[in-house]
Amino acid sequence: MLYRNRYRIARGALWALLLLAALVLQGTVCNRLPLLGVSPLLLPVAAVCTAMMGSAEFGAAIGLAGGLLGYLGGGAAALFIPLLCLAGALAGGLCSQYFTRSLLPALLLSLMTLLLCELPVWALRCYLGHAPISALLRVVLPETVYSLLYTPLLYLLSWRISFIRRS
Amino acid sequence: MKKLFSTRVKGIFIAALVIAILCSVTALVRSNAAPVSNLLNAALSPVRSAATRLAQRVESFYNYLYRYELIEAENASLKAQLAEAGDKIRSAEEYERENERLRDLAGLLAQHEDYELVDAHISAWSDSNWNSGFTIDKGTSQGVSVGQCVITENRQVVGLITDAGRNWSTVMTILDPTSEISAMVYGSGYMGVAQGDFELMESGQLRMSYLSTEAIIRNGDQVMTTGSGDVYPQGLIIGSVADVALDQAGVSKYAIINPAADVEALEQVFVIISYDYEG
Repeated sequence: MLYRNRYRIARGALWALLLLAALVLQGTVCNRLPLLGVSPLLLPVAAVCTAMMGSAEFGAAIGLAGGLLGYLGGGAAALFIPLLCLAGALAGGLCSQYFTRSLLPALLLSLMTLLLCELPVWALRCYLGHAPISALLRVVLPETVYSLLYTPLLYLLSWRISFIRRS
Repeated sequence: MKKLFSTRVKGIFIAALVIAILCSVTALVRSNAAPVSNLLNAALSPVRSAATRLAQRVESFYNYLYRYELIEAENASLKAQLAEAGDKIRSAEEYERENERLRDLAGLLAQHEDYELVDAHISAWSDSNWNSGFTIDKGTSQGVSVGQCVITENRQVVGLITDAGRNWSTVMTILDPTSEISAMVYGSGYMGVAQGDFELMESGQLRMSYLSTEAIIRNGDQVMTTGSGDVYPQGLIIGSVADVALDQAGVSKYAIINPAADVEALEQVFVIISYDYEG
């Protein structure tokens, strides 16, 4: 029992560290490597790759934690919190019932999460007049594609953490 | 078929919604960073600074390697010597740049004795593609607070403090689509508003709107702050005019401005924490 809890705590701590690392790297290293004028979003991808390793409940909790990290530490809009929570719950739920926990679903779920998090921001900015409609093609699309390139790495790390002494 | 979301998942989602609403409401009423945000960013600040420095070193090392390959082709025997010399040159350049900035700052302080400045280094850049900003390594414990103006050592406007924690602050640059500064064309005195523009943000430019249709403005004219409002002191350099055109409605002119501060290449900035406001 004690050992099981110890490994569960270790997994949780490593996943938390993965989210923190994604937050720090996207604000310090990744934005110095822009592609097509945009920098990637690592935090939503890291959150969804982690969320898919558990149930819908686990996914929702990871999404909530990721959303809070993004809002408090990354300057993301508050809207990011429920959106990432929803994306995490969907990822966890779908992987528990319909998908396998492999790379292809990770890519599909990352795509879904990135669009779920960025499309409302784009719509809101267009509505407020802070961005043109064409930003969908100039920002949202390249940003989504570029962020997806990081999915295999983040998926691999998250998948590896999930295997720490499962009992 | 099993239900995708249990009651507990719905509960977590509702909690997320409530937290988001609370965050939005508190963001409207508070002046500085929320305590939790302050704690998280204070803890992350040294990590971010270290990661940024590491990225800068790797970047400069990569640039160095690129040049080095060219040199190597000409003179392979000097490889080891060049590596050592390169290391020394890089640190010397860094010191030289800092020295130059501090000399300029000394000049600026001599001109504006009323400015009380705090120097800061950039620890992280905004990770959003929708705005332009960065985080600096100074915060409320050094006297920095929301609404203060950020400049370079040459009186060039960089932006505005939008959030401040104990040892960190976030800066919205003048390129951000929500940035607005009361501006004036130096010499002719035409007034307008220098605004960030999403379309121009990528090319590192901003827009000066609401200029009179009769305004005669030439490319290269300098644009300065007017000092109206108590955020930006008078006479700070915003940039120079790159192009002038009539707006869509044809009731006013606008100018495209090249900012004087090279926002993307900044390493060190100065926050004006107080100055004599002659409102």
